[in-house]
This record gives sequence, C-alpha cells and structure tokens, in this order.
Amino acid sequence: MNANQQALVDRWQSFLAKIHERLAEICVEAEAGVRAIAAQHPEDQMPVSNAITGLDHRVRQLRDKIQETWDAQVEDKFSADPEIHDVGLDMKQDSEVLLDEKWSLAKAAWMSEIAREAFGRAMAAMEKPVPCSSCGAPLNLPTRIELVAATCTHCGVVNQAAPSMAIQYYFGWCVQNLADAAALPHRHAVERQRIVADRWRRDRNWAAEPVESLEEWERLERRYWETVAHERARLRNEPVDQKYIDSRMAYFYKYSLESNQQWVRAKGRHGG
Amino acid sequence: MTPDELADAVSMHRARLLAAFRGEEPWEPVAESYGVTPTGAREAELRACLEAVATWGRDAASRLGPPGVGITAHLADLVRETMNEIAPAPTTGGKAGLAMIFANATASVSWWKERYGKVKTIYVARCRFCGGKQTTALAFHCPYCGRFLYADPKQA
Repeated sequence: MNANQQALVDRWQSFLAKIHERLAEICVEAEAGVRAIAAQHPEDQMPVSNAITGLDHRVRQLRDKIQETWDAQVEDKFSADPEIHDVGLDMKQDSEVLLDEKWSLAKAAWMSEIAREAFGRAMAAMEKPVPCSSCGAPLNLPTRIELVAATCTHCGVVNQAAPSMAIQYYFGWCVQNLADAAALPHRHAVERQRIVADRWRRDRNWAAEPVESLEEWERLERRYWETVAHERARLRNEPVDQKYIDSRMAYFYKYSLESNQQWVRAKGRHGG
Repeated sequence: MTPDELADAVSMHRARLLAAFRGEEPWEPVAESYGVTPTGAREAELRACLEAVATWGRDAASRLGPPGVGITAHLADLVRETMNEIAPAPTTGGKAGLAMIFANATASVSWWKERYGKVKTIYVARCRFCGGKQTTALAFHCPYCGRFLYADPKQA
C-alpha cells in the first residue's frame, strides 16, 4: 500500500472509530437509564421494552451515518483506486458488523442483569401460598409458572390460577432474554461465517459457495436455535422443546439454504 | 361489598389521588378529605393518603371474611407501585441525547395502569344465572342449574 492509499485508509478508519466511540457513550448512558426504569417498574416489561425500541432507533441512526458518509464522501476516493476499493468496503462492513455485535451484547448484558435481579422476586412470589379465591384455603398447584386449573381440596371449587406478575415477568420475558443472551455468540458466529463466505466468492469472481461452507452455515444456525431452546428449558426446568428447534430450522431451510442451487443439487429439499 | 367491588373502590381512590396529584383538580382539599393536612411536601402527602386508603381497604377486607389473594396483593402493592409511578423518569441520557427516549418509555405506563389496574391472577368461573361455582375442571355447565357458564355472543 503506498502512502496515499495508507492515508485514505487511515482517514476512513479514524471516522469509523469515532462512530464506535459514540456508540460507547450511548451504551454507558443507556445502561443507567434502562436499569433505572427496570428498578422503577420491577414487574412490567413494557417500559424497558419501550426504552430499548427507542435506543435501537438511536443506534440505527448512528449506523446509518457509516453508509451515508461512505456514499457521499468516501466511495469515490476508494473507487478511484481499484487496488484498495475492496479494502474500503470491507472496513465499512467490518465496522457495521462490529457495531451491531457490540450493541446486541450490551443489551444482552443489561437484560441478563435485570433478569438476575428479577429471579429473587419470582422465587419469593413462588413461596407465597395461593389461597382459594372462594374459601381462602391454600391451593395445591402443580406448577406456579403456568396458568393451571386447580380444584380446592377444601371447598371443591375450580380456581384458574395464573402466575403472579413477578413470576410471569421472570419466567416469561426474563427467561427468554437470558436464553437469547446465551445464544447471541452463536448468532454472531453465523453472521461472521456469511461474511467470510461472501468474501471467498468475491475473491473467485463470485464462484458458487462450496457445499461444505453451506453445511457449516447449517451447523451454526442449528447450534443457535438449540442453545436458545436448551437454555430456556434449563431455566424453566422443562424438557427441551424440539419442535421449536425444528420449526426454526424449517424456515431456515426453506428461505436460506434451499434458495441455493448448489445445496438443492447436493441435498435435495426438506419438503414444505 | 364484594372483594371485587372493594378492589374497584381502592382503584378509584388511587385514580382520584393520582389525578389530583397531577393537577387535574386542587390537591389540598383532596388530601384533606383523606385526613392528611397539606404541608407543601406533595409526595409525602400523597404517600400518607395512599396509606390511609390501604388501611381502610384492609379493614374493609377483614370484614368480608377470608382475604382474597387479589385484594390482599392489591393493597400490599398500592403505596409502593403508585409512588413508583409518580417518580420522575430517569434523567440520565442528557449527554448522549437519550433523555427523551427514557421519558417516552415510561409515558404511557400510568395510562394503562389506571385503566386496567391489577391483573387478577386467581379466578373462579361462576354461573351467570344462579351464581354457582365451577367444581370440575374443563366442565363448563353449571353443576347446580346445568346451564352453560358463558354467554353466547351470537344470542342477544
């Protein structure tokens, strides 16, 4: 790389680094705000979800600046020198992917912390006896984390007993957030593998992706959904929901792998 | 008064106190009507009013027989949850321009709570004709008068 090329790369790198610094600032302030809202509304997921939606939008605006700046000020300069055009594009893509990963990891860490704090409240709620709504005698419930119909052994009336808000908050929303957080590195691995595969094709004049690479994609995708399902099952003390994994993979086959002719020729279709 | 009517009454007191606290009617006469002398410390006055409502609610509930779990939970959370609701939204986020996001995130919480209040977590189906209670799970005909427990919306 000559001095002019290096200077262009350095300027682009410096801009991308500023975007990441801005993300770091947002993360610091967002964490304090999200945790304060969670503490203020300990049994209501809506305020935290609202805040995350707003923050997602803010981070998307930041991410869009990369593309806008590339289009308006940078692409022409890299295009003028075909030797480094792909270098500029790859820097942009790597920066966008890293930004997405940092943001999703930050959110996962906050959500996991909120879930860990909610666990104690859910356990305390589960230890409280649930009295029959007709006579007040304690009900013998088979589970406290699902809606169940329980017949009072004292007065014989059927009670529909739903989990209390603290229990619903943890075993519904928080458990899903913990499972998503546990599986997040596997989602990132899928995304990185797709970038590697795309660059491999680009370097070979857009040759077809080898079946081995597609098999690796399939393996990573399955590991992601298995991790979500296993973690959720572990936290809820339930069997793993294999149908959930199969249904997610069915969509993946139909809309991703089976749109690739190499794959269909080698493996056929799963049907559907 | 039934437990449901008591829960509704508690919710109405809470809604009235919140409305006055937010300036929809003069606060001082409302506080005085709950036996609280205005001192200028509005949040402390609201807390005292809510505690008066909770005490009244517990007395009323004890006269209704064994306490229902719904009203007990409602009264136990009344003061804490209402005070949480009037707490200002986090002021963090000023530097990164996030303050408005946090303000918006909590803006509609009280609107929902005031309209839908506490979610009942224990429920017994009753016959709409004779008031008989369901005694067999998944059996939806009244064990006393034999009629279906729920109204058919296709029939007026």
